[in-house]
Amino acid sequence: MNFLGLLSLLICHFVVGRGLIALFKLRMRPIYTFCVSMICGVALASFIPFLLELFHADITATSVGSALAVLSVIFLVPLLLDMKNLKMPQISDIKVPAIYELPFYIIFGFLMFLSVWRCYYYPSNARDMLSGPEVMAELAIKEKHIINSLFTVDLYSTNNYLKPPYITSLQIIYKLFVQPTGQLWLSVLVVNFLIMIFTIMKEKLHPAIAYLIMLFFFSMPEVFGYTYLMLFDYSNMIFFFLGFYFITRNLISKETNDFYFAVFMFSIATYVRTETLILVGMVLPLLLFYYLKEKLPATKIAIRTALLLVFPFIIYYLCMNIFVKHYIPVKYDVSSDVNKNLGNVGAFFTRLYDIQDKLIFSENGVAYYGYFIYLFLIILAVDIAFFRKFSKEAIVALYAVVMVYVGLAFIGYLLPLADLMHTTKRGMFKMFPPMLFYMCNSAFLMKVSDIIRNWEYSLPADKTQRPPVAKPAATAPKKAK
Amino acid sequence: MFFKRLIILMACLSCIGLLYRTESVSRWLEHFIFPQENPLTNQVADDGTEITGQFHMTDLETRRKRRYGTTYLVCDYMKKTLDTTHVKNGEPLILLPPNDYLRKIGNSFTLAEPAEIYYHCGLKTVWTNNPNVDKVNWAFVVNGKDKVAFVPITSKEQLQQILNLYKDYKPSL
Repeated sequence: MNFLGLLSLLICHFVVGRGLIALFKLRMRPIYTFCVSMICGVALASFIPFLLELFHADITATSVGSALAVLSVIFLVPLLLDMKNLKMPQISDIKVPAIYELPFYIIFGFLMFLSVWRCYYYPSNARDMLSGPEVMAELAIKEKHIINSLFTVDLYSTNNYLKPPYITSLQIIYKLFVQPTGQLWLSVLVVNFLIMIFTIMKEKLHPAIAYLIMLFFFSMPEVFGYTYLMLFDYSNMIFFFLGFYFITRNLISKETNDFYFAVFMFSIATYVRTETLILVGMVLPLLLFYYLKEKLPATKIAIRTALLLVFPFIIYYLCMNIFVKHYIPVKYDVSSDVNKNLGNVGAFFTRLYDIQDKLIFSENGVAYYGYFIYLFLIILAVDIAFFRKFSKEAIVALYAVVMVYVGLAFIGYLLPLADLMHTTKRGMFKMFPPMLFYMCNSAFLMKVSDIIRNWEYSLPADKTQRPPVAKPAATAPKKAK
Repeated sequence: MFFKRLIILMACLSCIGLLYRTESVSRWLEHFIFPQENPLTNQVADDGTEITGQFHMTDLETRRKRRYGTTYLVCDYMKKTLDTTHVKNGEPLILLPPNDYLRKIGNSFTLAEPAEIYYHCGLKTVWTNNPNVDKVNWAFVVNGKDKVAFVPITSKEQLQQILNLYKDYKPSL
């Protein structure tokens, strides 16, 4: 493995991502800034080989390396201009973990190590990869183009070459600069996402509660498996969740830049899996509800609605109507995949039923997702029965969960190729981070956290150190003007 | 406070223990986290502990063999055979048997699809319904359960004979 190559790529991801955050003028705690920077850096790097191919340029170590260097320099400018706001983590910020946190650190540390190790050790094995993005990337390195001799092979049994070039591009970069099997970009995404979600959880809940919930999240066999099995769904889940996260921040802080950044994240999620466009469209009712409630001017609402739909659509158009249609030498018509019998809405309700019958409340469901969904439902039931107090974050998270559930059924109805036991099963991943986000805003869990915290620190009941519910989790306090 | 934290620690450990004793999680731990066999290829882990065994075998070829199992061995066999054989009529084009046929005769393995075989060894293969099937010059011939031979096609009659054998089966994975 080329450690120097990996280190250079990590620095490139950080600079690019951090520069992007500076461009959007987002203010977050250093740990969030770092994690989001790394995630965005990976996302932006994934456009490099894709764009080289679109411009018919050769894909070589020199061209890709130069393009990454140029990208880093471009994003270094806003980063340098934003230096005054660059907040370095202080040693005093590092807290010694309490003794009850140690077992969790050991377990999570081991599982993360195992995930990264397997990501490094095992070459990609998923069939969707070996008959599509992985083989395209491997041949692109030999033949200098994503459109290569794969298309001279019998492709009767696959259509995986029609997937967006997100993984193909990242595989090309990591194969060129890190190791012949690539893949470690997945670990970069996973580790940063998990650190971020850990921090979100710990911000509002007592660490013991937060870690116990995270343990349920970690021990979902299917989800954990995809932290090292390279496919589209884990990445899609990360970007989709970040879209929702920044929408939540926007609804609370009213910062327009949070909204723009959410649109960017939804666009990347669409780039990873194009059918996400449907789910992005379904975010609109939530936004309209809050914007109308806040009496936002009609022009602002119209502009934001347009932005939310247009940018992900541009990415979709770039992938499907330009790349697939004009570059892939196999004729493909998206409409051929659309359900020919759309009048039969029974298929939609059947899929809705099947999701809960076969993927959630079944032996299979437990085998795929452990007890995480049950935990979420129990906490939701307690909240409904005893508290009936839902913060804006909780409402947005619940909306996201329901939206993914309905949206996946709709995708299954619209595109019969999106089958239950593969596409929908892995599409369900998008529900889980919003479920976590809901749980960290659950009135019941907050109450329990307060009780434990007050008991632990011998505080009177009204001296709770938890941040108030209505403030965004990751927003740093604004400077007084 | 330390005593209280110890109590919280005990409570956490109990919860962790309870969770890991549930059927789903213990099965996950047994099969995927501390597997006695490789969860991806079903091969027995080298020394019972997956990672420590892997630390000693990090070269790419070994990793590929461990990951892809039979598919990789079959591709390697094809490549080696063709490397040592003079192929008439230019580039080799290999006919794959339909996997349904392999299943029907009780074969314990099926073959990968053409794109995957091309990825592993750079050889072009076709299914029986490919428009270029008449150009194949090598074929996998099944001689009974778990017995496949890789043979050159020397005549149109020989090819037709093989295709007739597979005609009731649609190419599938």
